Amino acid sequence: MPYLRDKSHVSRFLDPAVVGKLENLELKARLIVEGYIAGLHRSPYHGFSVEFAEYRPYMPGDSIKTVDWKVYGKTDRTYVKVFEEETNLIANLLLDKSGSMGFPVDGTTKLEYGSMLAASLAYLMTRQQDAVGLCIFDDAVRAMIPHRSVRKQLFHILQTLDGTTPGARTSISPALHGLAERMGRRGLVVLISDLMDDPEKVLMGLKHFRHRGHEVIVFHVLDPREMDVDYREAVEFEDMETGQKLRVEPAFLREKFKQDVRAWIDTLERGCRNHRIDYHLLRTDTPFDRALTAYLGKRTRMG
Amino acid sequence: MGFLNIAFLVGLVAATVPIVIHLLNRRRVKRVKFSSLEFLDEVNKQRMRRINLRRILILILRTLAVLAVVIAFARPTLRSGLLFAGSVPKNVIVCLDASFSMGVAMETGTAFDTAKDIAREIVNEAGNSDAINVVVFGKHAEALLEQGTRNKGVVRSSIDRVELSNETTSIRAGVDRALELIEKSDVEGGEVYVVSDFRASDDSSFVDEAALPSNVRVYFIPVYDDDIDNVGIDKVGVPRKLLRPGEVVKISVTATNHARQTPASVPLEIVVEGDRKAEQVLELAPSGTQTVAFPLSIAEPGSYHGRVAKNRDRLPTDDDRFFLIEVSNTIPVTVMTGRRRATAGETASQVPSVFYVEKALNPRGTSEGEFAVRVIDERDVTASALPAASVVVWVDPQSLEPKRMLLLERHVRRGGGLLVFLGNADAAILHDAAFRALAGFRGGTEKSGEARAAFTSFEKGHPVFNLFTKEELELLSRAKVRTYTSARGVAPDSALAYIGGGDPAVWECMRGRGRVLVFAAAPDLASGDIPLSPMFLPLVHTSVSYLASSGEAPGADEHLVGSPISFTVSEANLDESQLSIRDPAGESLKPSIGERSAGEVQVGFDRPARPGFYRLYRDTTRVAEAAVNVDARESNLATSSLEDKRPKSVSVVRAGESFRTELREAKEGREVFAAFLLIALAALVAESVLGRKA
Repeated sequence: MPYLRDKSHVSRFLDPAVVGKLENLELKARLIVEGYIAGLHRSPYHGFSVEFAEYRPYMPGDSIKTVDWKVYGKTDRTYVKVFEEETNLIANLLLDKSGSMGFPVDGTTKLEYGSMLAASLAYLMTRQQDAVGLCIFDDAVRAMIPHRSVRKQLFHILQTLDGTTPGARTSISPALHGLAERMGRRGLVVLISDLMDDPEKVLMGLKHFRHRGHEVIVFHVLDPREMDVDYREAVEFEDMETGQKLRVEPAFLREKFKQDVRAWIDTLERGCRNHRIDYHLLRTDTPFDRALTAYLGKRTRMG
Repeated sequence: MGFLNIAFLVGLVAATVPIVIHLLNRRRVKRVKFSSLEFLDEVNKQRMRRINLRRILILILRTLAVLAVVIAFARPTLRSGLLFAGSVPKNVIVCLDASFSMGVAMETGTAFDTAKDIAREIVNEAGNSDAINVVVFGKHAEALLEQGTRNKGVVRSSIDRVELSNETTSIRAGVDRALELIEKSDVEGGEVYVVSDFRASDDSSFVDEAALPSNVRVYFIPVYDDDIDNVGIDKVGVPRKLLRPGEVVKISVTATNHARQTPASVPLEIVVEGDRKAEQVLELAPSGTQTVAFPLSIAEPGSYHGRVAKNRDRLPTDDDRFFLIEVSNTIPVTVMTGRRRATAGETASQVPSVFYVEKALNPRGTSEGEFAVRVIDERDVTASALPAASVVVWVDPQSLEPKRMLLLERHVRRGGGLLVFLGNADAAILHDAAFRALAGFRGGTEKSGEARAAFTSFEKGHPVFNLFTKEELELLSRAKVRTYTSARGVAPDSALAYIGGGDPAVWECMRGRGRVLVFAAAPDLASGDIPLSPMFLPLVHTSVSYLASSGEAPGADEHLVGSPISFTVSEANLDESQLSIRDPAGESLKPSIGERSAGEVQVGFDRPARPGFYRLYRDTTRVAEAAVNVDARESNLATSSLEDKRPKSVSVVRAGESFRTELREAKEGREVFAAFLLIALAALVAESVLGRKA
């Protein structure tokens, strides 16, 4: 895709606001991932297999190590050796679709952001020949696609993500414990959620994954307005999960609210660190490359 | 509290605006679906109560600010009176100062014109149901209307007709008159407005606070506040009671520069009967008084009208001062005796001493000589018997009732002369302390014995003796005395001659503006041979002439505008219908007849209104005359006595462009709009601070 090789164009698709406007989730995932990869010096798709598959012309971004210098000596052209991919990682994407993930109602919701992120990760993982699974939950597991490394797996995942809408109120902890019990082989667990629950219970659920030998990445998705209630006039808030209504003057309590939210985030981050869980706070305006980089870092460390 | 612009209170409706906005804001709430209210709920619980409290506070502050601004525009006034106190009928008395100091020229018109404008303004401001009257005062106070009226037009036209007087100021008189009017009025309580310059005044206090009813308010309205420079002629002194034709006298003129900062150069001139006789320039320091003497000589006997004039300044009334000069060949002398007069058949030694004195002064008994002599018994002494121009010769004094002694003393103090020949020492008069004080000795005893020189050790420089030659004095010293009064306590420097042996023979003392000359021995043959001395007649003549010419003129005891004048007319059978007085403007006035005594009648006039000459006519004949001047104390325009003599309960309203406002403030209270603006400002600042914190 020559168009995607123009970095200035493809990097645009890392912006959630831009990508969010697209209808097709697969297209979104592809644009995000290709756009991300186009910005890397080194392709993330190589180095995981040993069986030779074919030659292909060298392309910018390919490592020099992959150039077959013998062929170059004979033909005076640079070809790259392409090897057969081989699965060596099981990754499960856990996406929270609780009611709170439907916030905000007037823009890219946390669920949409999470879906795009999950789709992008699934795309990337599939391209890396990793086995990818998806679990969508709120207070119970609503959809479950066991991990597989077949080519159609991405299609299934994207199709499932595409039809996901915000559901009931969340109780992450039981859901996490249940999922931890259901996942057999050790692998990578990627949790995409706003973690709107008791931090201690959330951390207990995550710890359960660790206990079962999984590596865990938590993408904590929050809308900017959830962090600073940036409303000027009096507002009557309605809890998207409980339906509770509350009349507040945001201007009067913004500072205290921000402090409390920061403390909550710090608690989660500190707890994750203590349990060797990668924690990443993602605002819904955060470009996707940050999440992808985090994933790749983790993937690299896992070998 | 009252309001000067009560219509603005309609704006209080605006105070509902913040409330309405507050209520509208409460209803206009944005509804937002939010992911979780967990944090908001917690924070909200803690803060919403405080926030609501703060909102209510802000609402109160905004409402308060609007209220304060609206009230400030309504110009609130603070006072204990009621909001609509003006609707209660009351007396409104305007006391208008018409003293001559109010004639001072201002930028437009005089201070009196300004005062009248203020008076009209006060009348306009009075309530429609108020009983209004005007009191015009100087030294005396008079109401323009018999009783208060609600007809403002009548009052205003009365004010238009008021003219400036030449009297001094008595604020107290004006206020007292106003209080009398209020007391007599059918309407309860009232307001007294005193419009004056509040300059020099004899009043110890302008208002008797103890007598001020609680329902009467007094307001002082000074017409001007500035100190005004003024130079006035205080006094004109004619140094001789009677001038002799051709005699040169010095007219003393005293002037005062009342300016506290500016010196003054004042040209003065003396005009007698229309002829300018002398002129001088007087240099006066700030607050300085100076007296200068003008030499004056008049050849012909007669009554002369004089005027001292200075350059005109802002207050012209005190730039002229009038005086009378009597030039006469005859000196009126009253001879008073305690002993009977000479009767037929008496031997020379039995003839009473008064005989020799009378003969010495009026040898032919016709009063056509140099002296016009009348002889009276000391028991008949009355005020009319002691006209100011006369010399009283008291021979052989015996005793005098205290009130008559007082008359005699007053005669001397006013500039009259008194020549006393002490008689025998048994006379009760020597024990009369008042007499001793008047005659300048502390006591005396009769001394009799061998004949002694009656006069030795003359004070030759004294006017009584300095006309005599040495030989004449020698002749006088040959007179002998056997019986005389040895006086004690005569001041050594007042003795003019001594009896051989050391007792004072003649001594002189000053009493007030007059002089007393006392001889220790009686001029009769029982006491010695003094009447037989060839120098006796010259001695009596010289003594009487000296006493007549010393002291000050009758003008020194000035008649002042507003004070009664009294003329002595030597005709007992006068009828009031025969008499009339012409004032300086030529208006005919009616005098009143007072005390009548033997051959004389006192004719009085209560209130001379203009400075100048007042002439008393019997039918068409001028029988007496008096010069009347303004009271010089009124000339001081530099010092306001307002604060010294104003009781604290009396409010002061300043005249000027804002007079009407100040008057309303004084009537309805102090305007406090600034305080309300400050309240509004403070409320807005507090609102701003609270809002920012929010």
